Amino acid sequence: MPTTTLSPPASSARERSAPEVIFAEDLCKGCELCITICPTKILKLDTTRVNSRGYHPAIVYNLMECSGCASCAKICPDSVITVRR
Amino acid sequence: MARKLMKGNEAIAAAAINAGCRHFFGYPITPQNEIPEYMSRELPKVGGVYLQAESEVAAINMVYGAAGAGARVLTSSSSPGISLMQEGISYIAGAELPCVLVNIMRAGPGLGGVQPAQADYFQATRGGGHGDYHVVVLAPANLQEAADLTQLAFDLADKYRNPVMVLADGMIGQLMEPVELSPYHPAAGLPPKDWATTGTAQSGGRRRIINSLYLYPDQLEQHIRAIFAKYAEIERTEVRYELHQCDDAEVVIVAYGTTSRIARSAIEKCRRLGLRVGLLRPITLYPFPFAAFPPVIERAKMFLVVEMSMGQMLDDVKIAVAGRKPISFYGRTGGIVPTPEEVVKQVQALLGGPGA
Amino acid sequence: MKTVYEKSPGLTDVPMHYCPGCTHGIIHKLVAESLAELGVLGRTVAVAPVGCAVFAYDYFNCDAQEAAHGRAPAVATGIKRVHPDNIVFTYQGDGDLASIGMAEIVHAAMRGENITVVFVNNAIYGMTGGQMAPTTLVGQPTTTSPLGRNRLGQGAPLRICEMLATIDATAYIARVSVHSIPRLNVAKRAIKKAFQLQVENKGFSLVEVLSTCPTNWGLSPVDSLRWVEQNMIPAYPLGVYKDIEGGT
Repeated sequence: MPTTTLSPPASSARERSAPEVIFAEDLCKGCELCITICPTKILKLDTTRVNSRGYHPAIVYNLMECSGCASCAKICPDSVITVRR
Repeated sequence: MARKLMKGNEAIAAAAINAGCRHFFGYPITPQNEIPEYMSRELPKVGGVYLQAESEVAAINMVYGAAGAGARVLTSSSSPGISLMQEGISYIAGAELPCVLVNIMRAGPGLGGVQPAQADYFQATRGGGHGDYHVVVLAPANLQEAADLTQLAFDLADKYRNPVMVLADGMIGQLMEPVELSPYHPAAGLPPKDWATTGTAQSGGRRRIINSLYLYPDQLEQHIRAIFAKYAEIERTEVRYELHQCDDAEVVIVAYGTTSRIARSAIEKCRRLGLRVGLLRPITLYPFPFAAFPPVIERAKMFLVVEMSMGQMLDDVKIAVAGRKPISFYGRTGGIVPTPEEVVKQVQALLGGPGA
Repeated sequence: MKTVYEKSPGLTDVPMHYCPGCTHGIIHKLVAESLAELGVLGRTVAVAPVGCAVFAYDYFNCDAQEAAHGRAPAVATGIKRVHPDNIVFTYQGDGDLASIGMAEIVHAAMRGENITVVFVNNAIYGMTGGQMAPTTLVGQPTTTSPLGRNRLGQGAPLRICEMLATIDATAYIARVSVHSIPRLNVAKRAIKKAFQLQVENKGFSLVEVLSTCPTNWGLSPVDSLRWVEQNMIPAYPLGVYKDIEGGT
């Protein structure tokens, strides 16, 4: 399963401490539960493309704000998301 | 084990335990209650499980679960209860699980009565539930045979991964006769139950799934064809029947179970009257012993089918005889057991006169 | 870096067929995580229902049997009685458990059958296209109650937890929801506890999980979570209805 890692380049101290949020993107059905549940509101659907199932996949657009709480991963019905920190 | 006087229902139950059955799920219904009663008494003594279900519907689904878990499992009931089990029997056949079912038939339709009948032949031999499948059907005519066929039923079920039914009636169930249960050895070469759901820790991580759902028609057709390949083998190798005084018989009676006993008495009386009468007794009702018929058809003048129904096995005899000789039918139904004298009268009428 | 959350080893790699946002997937995860964390996956046998979760046998990473509609508790009984050391659970929807399978669930509970039941209540028949369920709310329109379920004639919701909690032999009966993270965490603990009690041979445990059906409710997945909170929970109060260990 292709995955998309949305970690920033490890170039600064702040960035190195950011959590890693990995999407098994082709499993995403674009249901937006992760977007709703995220306490810091840093997820969105990437409406510029579709995955292999024809859905706009969810992405993190502001990883710097991510607390690594994994709420998005817990609520995701399709086990799309892995969180590390 | 020495010969012991037993009731038919008890003989079946004892034979099941002798054959290694350790799980029974059922629901009370007359006239088969001695089977669950015996099991409830005896199974715990050998480390087995007797469970009285809330209905026949639940009982047969417990059988499904237990069979899928790899157990030798039995249920028993009588006609209306077997009707309720048809859903589960279809699933068991579809999922290719082995189990043994006992139907101690009573009169129908509906609530009918509690007296013996043979009116579930169609239901037993044609499938009974929905979809393309068969249940192997064994029809004992005496209690020793009831015990022996019950043991055989477990072997056949395991060999072919298919439900096997012992089909008897209230007469066989309630009758007392001497029965001997010999030490049981399972048939040679029974396949291992490596498909049973016992947990992946026991299978090297390979997941075992018991299922009858195939949403893609091509896959389902393939599955059914594979099941029917087994039925073809069963039809080739598992046919059982008995020929009694057919060599010189002008009239061949075709009867199974209780009515075959009555036919046997009638034949004795007929022979004393100088009437040449024989018996063709199917022991397996599915597979029906079609192959037994051709040599008999050559010699016999006619056939007489005797059943405790309005004529169900009659259809299979018609298929077997294929119009080559005339077939008559004598049936009593509603719980009435025909007497040998009634059958003798039928033979006399067929052969044209009292002494023929 | 340490993993905060990843897909449970209790699930297979088969992509789930559920509609987008359907909470079946979340409930599958909680069950799978519980089994994996208890270390019992290798001796677990799942019993799948008829309904949306019919393919559960493809998703749980353990042995499984597919039951006829409503009969899962009877099938589970058969399995458990053959191998009492197996951890056996049914995963059933509301049509399966609360309608056609009512006799089987009540009697499995009555016997104190040492199995775990995961009961997914979304107040509607999903697989068949949105027909009225015994758990449909009064006034809720479905394809077979187009004017909304009428209390007179069509009845009011069956409350399974309340009913089963009256049965002596039950060990643990709880109703939970997965519409928020705190609620999801409570649901996880309840499901894990239900399995733990089975491991300890304590008897029958059932966790009812309020679930969504965005497709047949005609709501977005996000609005469906709100509908659970605003409409279902008042009709189906959350909580522990029975706990032989005395917890609530």
